[in-house]
Amino acid sequence: MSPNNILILSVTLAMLAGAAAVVSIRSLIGAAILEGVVSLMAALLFLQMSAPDVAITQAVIGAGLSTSLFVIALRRSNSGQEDSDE
Amino acid sequence: MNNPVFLFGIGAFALMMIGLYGVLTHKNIFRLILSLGLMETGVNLFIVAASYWDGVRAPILGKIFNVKTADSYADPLPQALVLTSIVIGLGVTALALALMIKYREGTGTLEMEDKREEEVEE
Amino acid sequence: MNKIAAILMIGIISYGVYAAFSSTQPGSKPFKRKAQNDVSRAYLAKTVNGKKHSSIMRGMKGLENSSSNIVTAVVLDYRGFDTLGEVTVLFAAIAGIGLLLGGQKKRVITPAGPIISSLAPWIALFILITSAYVFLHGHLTPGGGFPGGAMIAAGFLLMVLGFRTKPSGVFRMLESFAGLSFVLVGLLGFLKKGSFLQNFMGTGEMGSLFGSLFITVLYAIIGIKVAAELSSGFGSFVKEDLEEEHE
Repeated sequence: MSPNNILILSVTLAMLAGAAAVVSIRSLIGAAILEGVVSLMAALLFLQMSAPDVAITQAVIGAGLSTSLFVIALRRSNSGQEDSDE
Repeated sequence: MNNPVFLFGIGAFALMMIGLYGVLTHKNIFRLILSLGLMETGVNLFIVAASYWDGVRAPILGKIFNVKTADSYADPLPQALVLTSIVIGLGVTALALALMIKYREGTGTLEMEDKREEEVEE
Repeated sequence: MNKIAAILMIGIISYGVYAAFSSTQPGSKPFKRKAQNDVSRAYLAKTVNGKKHSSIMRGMKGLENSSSNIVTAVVLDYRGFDTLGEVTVLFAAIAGIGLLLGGQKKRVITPAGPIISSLAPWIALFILITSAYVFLHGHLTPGGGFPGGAMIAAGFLLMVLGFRTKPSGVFRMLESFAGLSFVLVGLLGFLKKGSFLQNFMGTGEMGSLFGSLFITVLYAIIGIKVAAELSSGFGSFVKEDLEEEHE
């Protein structure tokens, strides 16, 4: 394993752990924030795949705008109270 | 396994499958939208990973570009497709969230349940 | 029970994909090819119309397309029509949001704190400068109109959070105007060169800021359009919160 591969492997594992947390965590707002983390890790992977255009777009839209959109929509639909699975 | 392309492909596919698991097991609409977002990210990663080869450069012609060494550049076509796909994904996610807000206003809950089943049980 | 069925289904799908990818049939070798196909190679070498160049370097003139960033060249020049369709899909999604969330009941919200309201304009200013840089240099550096427009929308969202400014009808006008100008540029290409969205402004020196004017113009239009669309869409998400405070 070269150092580059170790970097890629750790970023991939962080992304997958975040994704597993998104589908299993109880708090909805925490899941929304973790989705942003997954997007950021995906943007790093795009950068490693020498696709800088896609990486910038994924970082701005996936990690920035989409997370804030999730939080705004959740706050508006929830009006403050907690709402979780099961 | 020295070539990271397998790592990229397996990671992207695993992300897709985690998103699919979330879609299949949850009844909360917000979680469904989040899981669909995960699946979308996984598919985008997979498309770009399928065109990647170890050591390719970004498709930006900075120095001299020789036609014979075109293989040392990453394939620009999948990247262009994924670029637009991400933006469309944001629009679709926003539309789904708007529908979720309307559903919440109509039913008072974010859970998807079959009302007829409950009535039968009662 | 639900979860076991889900895991079972995922296992079946994973096995199917594994079997498909490890197949030894001819023509089924994704992830295992190094040679690029001819279309992508033609995009990279800028020889779609058949003008052969043995090598391409910075500062060259008279190329088929003078954008250093090949992804930008594909998005706007070679496949500009697809981009028009994509922008239309985005427009439809945002119009659907406006339809769903327009004219809602009012609700109390907490105002922004002093940190956000004092720092928001400065951060928004720098976001605006960065996004203008990103979409003006779309043909030289990674980026372009889509992330640039999304950055402007993020700055607008920050201003909304800081100041409760009400999203006005200007965004809708700007959005329609930008959409129309994209089609107009395409029609100008049709009138001057004979096909829709064809480059009629000529190609300049590769690597200079105004070397590919056509792509700069189109990316500026797309940036304005994406920014206006996303801002008005997000505006409908936060709109009802704002009406309470003005009363």
